[in-house]
Amino acid sequence: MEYNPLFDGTYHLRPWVDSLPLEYKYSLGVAGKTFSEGLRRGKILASKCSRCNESRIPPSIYCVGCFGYSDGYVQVSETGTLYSFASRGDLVVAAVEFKGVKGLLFHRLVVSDRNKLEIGAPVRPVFVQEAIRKGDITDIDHFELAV
Amino acid sequence: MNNKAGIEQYLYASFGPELKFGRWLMVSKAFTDKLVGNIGALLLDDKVAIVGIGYSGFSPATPSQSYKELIFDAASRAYAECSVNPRKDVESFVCCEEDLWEGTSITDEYAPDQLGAAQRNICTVSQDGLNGVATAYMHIKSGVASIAVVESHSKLSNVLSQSQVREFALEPYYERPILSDGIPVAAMQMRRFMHDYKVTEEDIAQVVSKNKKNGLFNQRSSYAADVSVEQAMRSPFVWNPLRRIQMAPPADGCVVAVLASAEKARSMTEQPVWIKGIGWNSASTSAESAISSDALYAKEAAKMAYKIAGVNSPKSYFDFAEVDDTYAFKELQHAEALGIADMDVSKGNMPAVAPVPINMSGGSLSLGDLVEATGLVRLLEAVQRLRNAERKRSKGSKRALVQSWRGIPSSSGAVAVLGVE
Repeated sequence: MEYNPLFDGTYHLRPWVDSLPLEYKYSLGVAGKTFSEGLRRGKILASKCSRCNESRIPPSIYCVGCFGYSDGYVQVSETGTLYSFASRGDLVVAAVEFKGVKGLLFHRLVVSDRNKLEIGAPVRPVFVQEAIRKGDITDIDHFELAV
Repeated sequence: MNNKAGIEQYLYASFGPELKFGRWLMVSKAFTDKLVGNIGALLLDDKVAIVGIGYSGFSPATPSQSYKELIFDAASRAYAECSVNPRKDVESFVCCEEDLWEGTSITDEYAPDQLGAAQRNICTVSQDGLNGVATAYMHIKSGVASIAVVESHSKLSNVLSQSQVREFALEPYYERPILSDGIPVAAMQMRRFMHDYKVTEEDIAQVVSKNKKNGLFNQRSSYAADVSVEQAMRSPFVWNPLRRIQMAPPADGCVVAVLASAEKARSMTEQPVWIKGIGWNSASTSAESAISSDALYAKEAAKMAYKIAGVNSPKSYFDFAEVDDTYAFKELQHAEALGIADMDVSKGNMPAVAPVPINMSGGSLSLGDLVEATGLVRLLEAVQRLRNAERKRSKGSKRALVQSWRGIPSSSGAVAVLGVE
Protein backbone atom coordinates (compact mmCIF):
# COMPACT_ATOMS: atom_id res chain seq x y z
CA MET A 1 0.00 0.00 0.00
CA GLU A 2 1.21 3.50 -0.74
CA TYR A 3 2.58 5.42 2.26
CA ASN A 4 0.01 7.89 3.54
CA PRO A 5 1.43 10.46 6.00
CA LEU A 6 -2.02 11.06 7.49
CA PHE A 7 -2.08 7.55 8.95
CA ASP A 8 1.34 7.91 10.57
CA GLY A 9 0.72 9.45 13.98
CA THR A 10 4.20 10.94 14.26
CA TYR A 11 4.63 12.36 10.77
CA HIS A 12 3.32 15.83 11.60
CA LEU A 13 5.50 16.08 14.70
CA ARG A 14 8.66 16.20 12.66
CA PRO A 15 10.85 19.26 13.32
CA TRP A 16 13.85 20.48 11.36
CA VAL A 17 16.79 21.48 13.54
CA ASP A 18 19.29 24.08 12.33
CA SER A 19 21.94 26.34 13.80
CA LEU A 20 24.15 29.12 12.50
CA PRO A 21 27.26 30.50 14.18
CA LEU A 22 26.93 34.29 14.44
CA GLU A 23 29.82 36.61 15.21
CA TYR A 24 29.81 40.33 15.81
CA LYS A 25 32.28 43.09 16.44
CA TYR A 26 31.10 45.94 18.68
CA SER A 27 32.74 49.33 18.15
CA LEU A 28 33.23 50.88 21.58
CA GLY A 29 33.16 54.40 20.22
CA VAL A 30 34.74 57.49 21.74
CA ALA A 31 33.31 57.13 25.24
CA GLY A 32 33.73 53.35 25.34
CA LYS A 33 37.37 53.62 24.29
CA THR A 34 38.04 56.18 27.03
CA PHE A 35 36.43 53.86 29.60
CA SER A 36 38.47 50.94 28.25
CA GLU A 37 41.74 52.89 28.51
CA GLY A 38 40.78 53.92 32.05
CA LEU A 39 40.43 50.25 33.01
CA ARG A 40 43.97 49.57 31.77
CA ARG A 41 45.18 52.29 34.15
CA GLY A 42 43.12 50.88 36.99
CA LYS A 43 40.50 53.61 36.88
CA ILE A 44 36.72 53.61 36.45
CA LEU A 45 35.71 56.64 34.39
CA ALA A 46 32.34 58.34 34.17
CA SER A 47 31.35 60.93 31.57
CA LYS A 48 30.42 64.41 32.70
CA CYS A 49 28.04 66.69 30.85
CA SER A 50 29.35 70.25 30.65
CA ARG A 51 25.82 71.59 30.20
CA CYS A 52 23.93 70.11 33.16
CA ASN A 53 26.86 68.68 35.13
CA GLU A 54 25.37 65.16 35.20
CA SER A 55 28.00 62.43 35.58
CA ARG A 56 27.15 59.01 34.23
CA ILE A 57 28.48 55.49 34.11
CA PRO A 58 28.98 53.76 31.68
CA PRO A 59 30.20 56.95 29.99
CA SER A 60 28.57 58.31 26.84
CA ILE A 61 29.18 61.36 24.64
CA TYR A 62 25.52 62.28 24.91
CA CYS A 63 23.89 63.30 28.15
CA VAL A 64 20.89 61.08 28.96
CA GLY A 65 19.38 63.83 31.11
CA CYS A 66 19.62 66.95 28.90
CA PHE A 67 20.81 65.53 25.56
CA GLY A 68 23.84 67.79 25.74
CA TYR A 69 27.28 66.82 24.47
CA SER A 70 29.26 65.17 27.26
CA ASP A 71 32.92 65.80 26.54
CA GLY A 72 34.40 65.49 30.01
CA TYR A 73 35.40 62.47 32.07
CA VAL A 74 35.77 62.06 35.81
CA GLN A 75 37.14 59.20 37.86
CA VAL A 76 34.54 57.70 40.18
CA SER A 77 35.20 57.45 43.92
CA GLU A 78 37.45 54.67 45.27
CA THR A 79 34.51 52.93 46.91
CA GLY A 80 30.98 52.54 45.66
CA THR A 81 27.85 51.20 47.33
CA LEU A 82 25.84 48.09 46.67
CA TYR A 83 22.62 49.04 44.81
CA SER A 84 21.46 45.44 44.58
CA PHE A 85 22.80 41.91 44.17
CA ALA A 86 21.79 38.37 43.25
CA SER A 87 23.49 35.09 44.01
CA ARG A 88 23.65 31.53 42.74
CA GLY A 89 25.82 29.14 44.70
CA ASP A 90 29.18 30.83 45.28
CA LEU A 91 28.61 33.36 42.52
CA VAL A 92 27.37 36.81 43.52
CA VAL A 93 26.48 39.39 40.87
CA ALA A 94 26.17 42.99 41.99
CA ALA A 95 25.04 46.39 40.75
CA VAL A 96 27.36 49.08 42.12
CA GLU A 97 26.58 52.80 42.31
CA PHE A 98 29.07 55.60 42.90
CA LYS A 99 28.48 58.83 44.79
CA GLY A 100 27.46 61.74 42.58
CA VAL A 101 27.34 59.53 39.49
CA LYS A 102 24.19 58.34 37.75
CA GLY A 103 24.06 54.81 36.39
CA LEU A 104 25.30 51.48 37.67
CA LEU A 105 28.12 49.07 37.00
CA PHE A 106 27.42 45.34 37.06
CA HIS A 107 30.15 43.03 38.29
CA ARG A 108 31.00 39.94 40.30
CA LEU A 109 31.23 40.33 44.05
CA VAL A 110 33.53 38.20 46.20
CA VAL A 111 32.64 38.05 49.89
CA SER A 112 33.84 35.82 52.67
CA ASP A 113 30.92 36.51 54.98
CA ARG A 114 27.52 36.46 53.25
CA ASN A 115 25.88 37.95 56.34
CA LYS A 116 27.60 41.28 55.68
CA LEU A 117 26.00 41.44 52.26
CA GLU A 118 23.28 44.10 52.21
CA ILE A 119 21.99 46.90 50.00
CA GLY A 120 24.00 50.06 50.69
CA ALA A 121 27.17 48.21 51.79
CA PRO A 122 30.42 49.90 50.65
CA VAL A 123 32.31 47.99 47.93
CA ARG A 124 35.54 48.57 46.00
CA PRO A 125 36.94 47.16 42.76
CA VAL A 126 39.85 44.72 42.70
CA PHE A 127 41.76 45.01 39.42
CA VAL A 128 43.80 42.22 37.82
CA GLN A 129 47.58 42.76 37.51
CA GLU A 130 48.43 45.64 35.18
CA ALA A 131 50.45 43.42 32.83
CA ILE A 132 47.46 41.28 31.90
CA ARG A 133 44.82 44.04 31.57
CA LYS A 134 43.18 44.24 28.15
CA GLY A 135 40.79 47.14 28.51
CA ASP A 136 37.86 44.80 29.07
CA ILE A 137 35.32 44.92 31.90
CA THR A 138 37.06 41.81 33.25
CA ASP A 139 40.16 43.95 33.96
CA ILE A 140 38.23 44.41 37.16
CA ASP A 141 38.54 40.92 38.62
CA HIS A 142 35.70 41.49 41.08
CA PHE A 143 34.35 43.88 43.72
CA GLU A 144 34.84 43.26 47.42
CA LEU A 145 33.27 44.66 50.57
CA ALA A 146 35.14 47.75 51.77
CA VAL A 147 34.50 47.31 55.48
CA MET B 1 6.46 93.33 42.24
CA ASN B 2 7.07 89.96 40.63
CA ASN B 3 8.50 89.54 37.17
CA LYS B 4 5.34 88.45 35.41
CA ALA B 5 3.34 91.45 36.55
CA GLY B 6 6.21 93.67 35.52
CA ILE B 7 6.28 92.24 32.01
CA GLU B 8 2.52 92.61 31.67
CA GLN B 9 2.69 96.22 32.77
CA TYR B 10 5.43 96.86 30.25
CA LEU B 11 3.47 95.20 27.46
CA TYR B 12 0.31 97.12 28.33
CA ALA B 13 2.24 100.38 28.35
CA SER B 14 3.74 99.55 24.94
CA PHE B 15 0.72 98.19 23.13
CA GLY B 16 -2.17 99.63 25.07
CA PRO B 17 -5.69 98.23 24.82
CA GLU B 18 -4.97 96.19 21.65
CA LEU B 19 -3.14 93.71 23.81
CA LYS B 20 -6.14 93.26 26.05
CA PHE B 21 -8.39 92.76 23.06
CA GLY B 22 -5.86 90.40 21.48
CA ARG B 23 -5.74 88.31 24.62
CA TRP B 24 -9.51 88.14 24.76
CA LEU B 25 -9.52 86.99 21.17
CA MET B 26 -6.97 84.29 21.97
CA VAL B 27 -8.94 83.08 24.97
CA SER B 28 -12.19 83.01 23.04
CA LYS B 29 -10.53 81.21 20.14
CA ALA B 30 -9.25 78.51 22.50
CA PHE B 31 -12.74 78.20 23.93
CA THR B 32 -14.51 77.92 20.59
CA ASP B 33 -11.87 75.47 19.31
CA LYS B 34 -12.55 73.24 22.26
CA LEU B 35 -16.29 73.55 21.82
CA VAL B 36 -16.11 72.75 18.11
CA GLY B 37 -13.73 69.89 18.87
CA ASN B 38 -16.10 68.37 21.44
CA ILE B 39 -19.15 68.66 19.21
CA GLY B 40 -17.09 67.28 16.35
CA ALA B 41 -16.04 64.30 18.45
CA LEU B 42 -19.68 63.65 19.37
CA LEU B 43 -20.80 63.82 15.76
CA LEU B 44 -17.88 61.89 14.33
CA ASP B 45 -17.72 59.26 17.10
CA ASP B 46 -14.04 58.49 16.49
CA LYS B 47 -13.86 55.68 19.03
CA VAL B 48 -11.96 52.45 18.35
CA ALA B 49 -13.26 49.02 19.36
CA ILE B 50 -12.00 45.47 19.57
CA VAL B 51 -14.58 43.56 17.55
CA GLY B 52 -12.97 40.15 17.26
CA ILE B 53 -10.29 38.20 19.05
CA GLY B 54 -9.01 34.70 18.35
CA TYR B 55 -6.29 32.50 19.75
CA SER B 56 -4.50 29.21 19.30
CA GLY B 57 -1.93 27.18 21.19
CA PHE B 58 -1.63 28.08 24.88
CA SER B 59 0.42 25.02 25.58
CA PRO B 60 4.00 24.39 26.79
CA ALA B 61 4.68 22.96 23.32
CA THR B 62 2.82 22.79 20.00
CA PRO B 63 4.86 20.21 18.04
CA SER B 64 2.08 19.41 15.59
CA GLN B 65 1.82 22.93 14.20
CA SER B 66 4.24 25.35 12.60
CA TYR B 67 4.13 28.94 13.85
CA LYS B 68 2.40 29.89 10.60
CA GLU B 69 -0.34 27.33 11.26
CA LEU B 70 -0.75 28.69 14.80
CA ILE B 71 -1.28 32.16 13.31
CA PHE B 72 -3.70 30.85 10.65
CA ASP B 73 -5.74 29.16 13.39
CA ALA B 74 -5.95 32.21 15.63
CA ALA B 75 -6.63 34.58 12.72
CA SER B 76 -9.42 32.36 11.30
CA ARG B 77 -11.16 32.41 14.68
CA ALA B 78 -10.79 36.17 15.09
CA TYR B 79 -12.14 36.85 11.58
CA ALA B 80 -15.05 34.41 12.02
CA GLU B 81 -16.07 36.12 15.25
CA CYS B 82 -16.72 39.44 13.52
CA SER B 83 -17.44 38.16 9.96
CA VAL B 84 -14.43 39.84 8.40
CA ASN B 85 -12.82 38.88 5.12
CA PRO B 86 -9.14 39.73 5.53
CA ARG B 87 -8.58 39.73 1.77
CA LYS B 88 -11.09 42.56 1.31
CA ASP B 89 -12.16 44.27 4.53
CA VAL B 90 -8.98 44.73 6.56
CA GLU B 91 -7.06 47.89 5.69
CA SER B 92 -4.11 47.52 8.04
CA PHE B 93 -2.30 44.52 9.53
CA VAL B 94 0.17 44.90 12.39
CA CYS B 95 2.45 42.01 13.45
CA CYS B 96 4.53 42.06 16.61
CA GLU B 97 7.50 39.74 16.48
CA GLU B 98 11.20 39.57 17.17
CA ASP B 99 13.76 38.01 14.81
CA LEU B 100 15.68 36.09 17.47
CA TRP B 101 12.58 34.45 18.96
CA GLU B 102 11.51 33.47 15.43
CA GLY B 103 14.83 32.07 14.29
CA THR B 104 14.79 34.08 11.07
CA SER B 105 16.01 37.59 10.44
CA ILE B 106 13.76 40.08 8.64
CA THR B 107 11.02 37.87 10.03
CA ASP B 108 8.28 40.33 9.04
CA GLU B 109 8.73 39.11 5.47
CA TYR B 110 7.22 35.81 6.62
CA ALA B 111 4.21 37.46 8.28
CA PRO B 112 1.58 38.25 5.60
CA ASP B 113 0.34 34.98 4.06
CA GLN B 114 -1.02 33.12 7.10
CA LEU B 115 -2.91 36.26 8.18
CA GLY B 116 -4.62 36.78 4.84
CA ALA B 117 -2.44 39.86 4.36
CA ALA B 118 -0.53 39.03 1.17
CA GLN B 119 -0.17 42.10 -1.06
CA ARG B 120 -1.93 44.24 1.52
CA ASN B 121 -0.97 46.97 4.01
CA ILE B 122 1.11 45.28 6.67
CA CYS B 123 3.80 46.47 9.04
CA THR B 124 5.75 44.84 11.85
CA VAL B 125 6.19 46.47 15.21
CA SER B 126 9.17 44.86 16.89
CA GLN B 127 7.60 45.22 20.31
CA ASP B 128 5.07 43.60 22.60
CA GLY B 129 1.62 42.99 21.06
CA LEU B 130 0.00 45.79 23.06
CA ASN B 131 2.27 48.28 21.29
CA GLY B 132 0.88 46.80 18.06
CA VAL B 133 -2.63 47.57 19.35
CA ALA B 134 -1.51 51.18 19.88
CA THR B 135 -0.30 51.30 16.26
CA ALA B 136 -3.55 49.84 14.91
CA TYR B 137 -5.52 52.25 17.14
CA MET B 138 -3.66 55.16 15.56
CA HIS B 139 -4.23 53.81 12.05
CA ILE B 140 -7.98 53.85 12.74
CA LYS B 141 -8.00 57.19 14.59
CA SER B 142 -6.10 58.86 11.77
CA GLY B 143 -8.46 57.51 9.13
CA VAL B 144 -5.77 55.42 7.42
CA ALA B 145 -7.88 52.31 8.11
CA SER B 146 -11.33 51.55 9.46
CA ILE B 147 -10.57 47.88 10.21
CA ALA B 148 -7.13 46.82 11.47
CA VAL B 149 -5.70 43.51 12.66
CA VAL B 150 -3.01 42.94 15.30
CA GLU B 151 -1.12 39.64 15.58
CA SER B 152 1.53 38.29 17.91
CA HIS B 153 2.63 34.79 18.81
CA SER B 154 5.12 32.71 20.72
CA LYS B 155 6.75 29.51 19.52
CA LEU B 156 9.19 29.33 22.42
CA SER B 157 9.16 25.52 22.35
CA ASN B 158 11.06 25.80 19.05
CA VAL B 159 13.74 28.07 20.52
CA LEU B 160 16.47 25.67 21.60
CA SER B 161 18.75 28.54 22.69
CA GLN B 162 16.36 30.46 24.94
CA SER B 163 18.97 31.52 27.47
CA GLN B 164 21.39 32.54 24.70
CA VAL B 165 18.71 34.77 23.16
CA ARG B 166 18.22 36.42 26.55
CA GLU B 167 21.99 36.79 26.90
CA PHE B 168 22.10 38.34 23.42
CA ALA B 169 19.74 41.08 24.65
CA LEU B 170 22.35 42.29 27.14
CA GLU B 171 24.74 45.15 26.40
CA PRO B 172 27.76 43.32 24.92
CA TYR B 173 30.78 45.10 26.44
CA TYR B 174 29.68 46.07 29.97
CA GLU B 175 27.05 43.46 30.76
CA ARG B 176 27.40 40.22 28.79
CA PRO B 177 30.62 39.04 30.46
CA ILE B 178 28.99 39.49 33.88
CA LEU B 179 25.26 38.81 33.76
CA SER B 180 25.04 35.28 32.27
CA ASP B 181 21.55 34.75 30.77
CA GLY B 182 20.13 38.01 32.08
CA ILE B 183 18.07 36.41 34.86
CA PRO B 184 20.29 38.13 37.49
CA VAL B 185 18.85 41.42 36.16
CA ALA B 186 15.38 40.31 37.28
CA ALA B 187 16.72 38.98 40.59
CA MET B 188 18.57 42.23 41.37
CA GLN B 189 15.54 44.31 40.49
CA MET B 190 13.42 42.11 42.72
CA ARG B 191 15.79 42.59 45.67
CA ARG B 192 15.88 46.37 45.21
CA PHE B 193 12.07 46.53 44.86
CA MET B 194 11.59 44.47 48.03
CA HIS B 195 14.06 46.73 49.84
CA ASP B 196 12.56 50.07 48.73
CA TYR B 197 8.91 49.07 49.15
CA LYS B 198 9.42 46.86 52.21
CA VAL B 199 7.87 43.92 50.40
CA THR B 200 8.37 40.53 52.07
CA GLU B 201 9.00 37.04 50.66
CA GLU B 202 5.50 36.18 51.81
CA ASP B 203 3.92 39.06 49.85
CA ILE B 204 5.48 37.70 46.67
CA ALA B 205 4.53 34.11 47.53
CA GLN B 206 0.96 35.37 47.87
CA VAL B 207 1.04 36.64 44.28
CA VAL B 208 2.29 33.23 43.12
CA SER B 209 -0.39 31.36 45.06
CA LYS B 210 -3.19 33.72 43.94
CA ASN B 211 -2.28 33.59 40.23
CA LYS B 212 -1.59 29.84 40.13
CA LYS B 213 -4.98 29.21 41.79
CA ASN B 214 -6.83 31.72 39.59
CA GLY B 215 -5.46 29.87 36.59
CA LEU B 216 -7.36 26.72 37.62
CA PHE B 217 -10.52 28.48 36.39
CA ASN B 218 -8.99 29.35 33.02
CA GLN B 219 -8.95 26.73 30.24
CA ARG B 220 -5.99 28.42 28.59
CA SER B 221 -3.61 28.05 31.53
CA SER B 222 -0.83 25.49 31.16
CA TYR B 223 0.79 26.06 34.53
CA ALA B 224 -2.11 26.56 36.94
CA ALA B 225 -1.92 24.67 40.22
CA ASP B 226 -3.27 24.68 43.73
CA VAL B 227 -0.14 26.19 45.30
CA SER B 228 -0.16 27.44 48.87
CA VAL B 229 1.85 30.43 50.10
CA GLU B 230 4.08 28.11 52.15
CA GLN B 231 4.69 25.89 49.12
CA ALA B 232 5.59 28.90 46.98
CA MET B 233 8.10 29.99 49.62
CA ARG B 234 9.86 26.61 49.47
CA SER B 235 10.52 26.74 45.73
CA PRO B 236 14.27 26.62 44.94
CA PHE B 237 16.21 29.76 44.04
CA VAL B 238 17.18 30.34 40.41
CA TRP B 239 19.12 33.43 41.39
CA ASN B 240 18.56 34.40 45.01
CA PRO B 241 16.11 36.10 45.78
CA LEU B 242 14.25 34.93 42.65
CA ARG B 243 12.63 31.50 43.01
CA ARG B 244 11.75 29.08 40.21
CA ILE B 245 7.99 29.25 40.89
CA GLN B 246 8.04 33.07 40.70
CA MET B 247 9.01 32.91 37.00
CA ALA B 248 6.49 32.38 34.20
CA PRO B 249 7.53 29.21 32.31
CA PRO B 250 7.62 29.34 28.50
CA ALA B 251 4.48 28.61 26.47
CA ASP B 252 3.41 28.61 22.81
CA GLY B 253 0.39 30.45 21.49
CA CYS B 254 -0.95 33.08 19.16
CA VAL B 255 -3.49 35.88 19.61
CA VAL B 256 -5.09 37.87 16.80
CA ALA B 257 -7.28 40.91 17.49
CA VAL B 258 -9.53 42.75 15.04
CA LEU B 259 -10.00 46.47 15.69
CA ALA B 260 -12.57 48.71 14.00
CA SER B 261 -13.82 52.26 13.95
CA ALA B 262 -17.05 52.99 15.84
CA GLU B 263 -19.00 53.23 12.61
CA LYS B 264 -17.93 49.75 11.46
CA ALA B 265 -17.79 48.18 14.91
CA ARG B 266 -21.52 48.42 15.62
CA SER B 267 -22.41 46.42 12.54
CA MET B 268 -19.68 43.84 13.10
CA THR B 269 -20.43 42.74 16.64
CA GLU B 270 -23.04 43.07 19.35
CA GLN B 271 -20.32 43.28 21.95
CA PRO B 272 -17.68 45.85 21.00
CA VAL B 273 -15.01 46.40 23.63
CA TRP B 274 -13.88 50.01 23.38
CA ILE B 275 -10.27 51.10 23.64
CA LYS B 276 -10.79 54.19 25.76
CA GLY B 277 -7.16 55.06 26.07
CA ILE B 278 -3.73 53.69 25.19
CA GLY B 279 -0.15 54.61 26.04
CA TRP B 280 3.39 53.34 25.74
CA ASN B 281 6.79 54.23 27.10
CA SER B 282 10.44 53.23 27.24
CA ALA B 283 12.31 54.48 30.29
CA SER B 284 15.99 54.37 29.29
CA THR B 285 18.61 51.91 28.08
CA SER B 286 20.59 52.50 31.24
CA ALA B 287 21.32 49.75 33.73
CA GLU B 288 19.67 51.58 36.62
CA SER B 289 16.52 51.81 34.59
CA ALA B 290 16.58 48.03 33.99
CA ILE B 291 16.79 47.23 37.70
CA SER B 292 15.05 50.24 39.22
CA SER B 293 12.53 49.53 41.96
CA ASP B 294 10.03 51.75 40.14
CA ALA B 295 8.47 50.65 36.84
CA LEU B 296 8.77 54.11 35.27
CA TYR B 297 7.72 52.83 31.84
CA ALA B 298 4.42 51.57 33.28
CA LYS B 299 3.88 54.79 35.20
CA GLU B 300 4.42 56.96 32.11
CA ALA B 301 2.46 54.67 29.75
CA ALA B 302 -0.43 54.74 32.24
CA LYS B 303 -0.27 58.52 32.46
CA MET B 304 -0.67 58.70 28.68
CA ALA B 305 -3.51 56.15 28.53
CA TYR B 306 -5.36 57.63 31.54
CA LYS B 307 -5.19 61.10 29.99
CA ILE B 308 -6.81 59.90 26.75
CA ALA B 309 -9.44 57.90 28.64
CA GLY B 310 -10.07 60.58 31.27
CA VAL B 311 -9.17 58.34 34.20
CA ASN B 312 -8.57 60.42 37.32
CA SER B 313 -8.55 57.86 40.10
CA PRO B 314 -7.60 54.43 38.72
CA LYS B 315 -8.34 52.68 42.04
CA SER B 316 -12.06 53.42 41.73
CA TYR B 317 -12.28 53.58 37.92
CA PHE B 318 -11.26 50.03 37.07
CA ASP B 319 -13.25 46.88 37.85
CA PHE B 320 -10.27 44.59 37.23
CA ALA B 321 -6.77 44.61 35.77
CA GLU B 322 -4.60 42.32 33.67
CA VAL B 323 -1.04 43.20 34.56
CA ASP B 324 2.32 41.77 33.52
CA ASP B 325 3.53 39.15 36.02
CA THR B 326 6.33 37.48 34.06
CA TYR B 327 8.08 37.47 37.43
CA ALA B 328 5.78 37.43 40.47
CA PHE B 329 7.25 40.61 42.03
CA LYS B 330 6.53 42.45 38.76
CA GLU B 331 2.78 42.25 39.42
CA LEU B 332 3.22 44.24 42.65
CA GLN B 333 5.66 46.66 41.04
CA HIS B 334 3.37 47.25 38.07
CA ALA B 335 0.28 47.61 40.27
CA GLU B 336 2.06 50.33 42.20
CA ALA B 337 3.18 52.09 39.01
CA LEU B 338 -0.35 51.95 37.56
CA GLY B 339 -1.82 53.44 40.73
CA ILE B 340 -4.14 50.50 41.44
CA ALA B 341 -2.50 49.13 44.59
CA ASP B 342 -2.61 50.29 48.17
CA MET B 343 1.06 50.20 48.97
CA ASP B 344 1.71 51.67 52.35
CA VAL B 345 5.48 51.64 52.57
CA SER B 346 5.48 52.97 56.13
CA LYS B 347 3.51 49.95 57.28
CA GLY B 348 5.91 47.72 55.45
CA ASN B 349 3.38 45.44 53.84
CA MET B 350 1.24 44.81 50.82
CA PRO B 351 -2.47 44.29 51.32
CA ALA B 352 -3.78 40.83 50.48
CA VAL B 353 -6.85 42.34 48.85
CA ALA B 354 -6.04 45.08 46.36
CA PRO B 355 -8.64 47.77 45.53
CA VAL B 356 -8.63 46.50 41.93
CA PRO B 357 -8.57 42.69 41.41
CA ILE B 358 -5.44 41.80 39.45
CA ASN B 359 -4.89 38.87 37.07
CA MET B 360 -8.06 36.91 37.73
CA SER B 361 -7.05 35.00 34.57
CA GLY B 362 -4.06 33.53 36.39
CA GLY B 363 -1.57 35.84 34.67
CA SER B 364 1.61 34.70 33.00
CA LEU B 365 2.43 32.61 36.07
CA SER B 366 -0.47 30.33 35.05
CA LEU B 367 -0.68 30.90 31.30
CA GLY B 368 3.05 30.95 30.67
CA ASP B 369 5.48 33.40 29.14
CA LEU B 370 4.44 34.07 25.53
CA VAL B 371 7.21 36.67 24.93
CA GLU B 372 5.98 39.33 22.46
CA ALA B 373 2.41 37.95 22.54
CA THR B 374 2.11 38.49 26.31
CA GLY B 375 0.40 41.89 26.00
CA LEU B 376 -2.19 40.41 23.62
CA VAL B 377 -2.75 37.54 26.08
CA ARG B 378 -3.55 40.09 28.80
CA LEU B 379 -5.85 41.85 26.28
CA LEU B 380 -7.57 38.57 25.36
CA GLU B 381 -8.26 37.76 29.00
CA ALA B 382 -9.66 41.24 29.65
CA VAL B 383 -11.86 41.22 26.53
CA GLN B 384 -13.26 37.77 27.34
CA ARG B 385 -14.03 38.78 30.93
CA LEU B 386 -15.73 42.03 29.88
CA ARG B 387 -17.85 40.17 27.31
CA ASN B 388 -18.79 37.38 29.71
CA ALA B 389 -19.85 39.89 32.34
CA GLU B 390 -21.97 41.75 29.81
CA ARG B 391 -23.58 38.50 28.67
CA LYS B 392 -24.46 37.63 32.25
CA ARG B 393 -25.58 41.22 32.80
CA SER B 394 -23.41 41.44 35.87
CA LYS B 395 -22.61 45.03 36.75
CA GLY B 396 -19.20 44.23 38.21
CA SER B 397 -16.95 44.22 35.15
CA LYS B 398 -17.27 47.12 32.77
CA ARG B 399 -13.85 48.75 32.78
CA ALA B 400 -10.53 46.98 32.55
CA LEU B 401 -6.87 47.92 32.68
CA VAL B 402 -4.37 46.02 30.53
CA GLN B 403 -0.61 46.41 30.87
CA SER B 404 2.42 44.82 29.23
CA TRP B 405 6.16 44.77 29.81
CA ARG B 406 8.79 43.66 27.35
CA GLY B 407 10.79 41.49 29.72
CA ILE B 408 14.39 41.66 30.89
CA PRO B 409 16.53 43.63 30.40
CA SER B 410 13.99 46.10 28.99
CA SER B 411 12.21 49.01 30.60
CA SER B 412 9.47 49.28 27.98
CA GLY B 413 5.77 48.72 28.27
CA ALA B 414 2.28 49.67 27.16
CA VAL B 415 -1.08 50.29 28.85
CA ALA B 416 -4.63 50.12 27.51
CA VAL B 417 -7.89 51.21 29.10
CA LEU B 418 -10.86 49.08 27.98
CA GLY B 419 -14.57 49.51 28.53
CA VAL B 420 -17.88 48.11 27.29
CA GLU B 421 -19.76 51.40 27.56
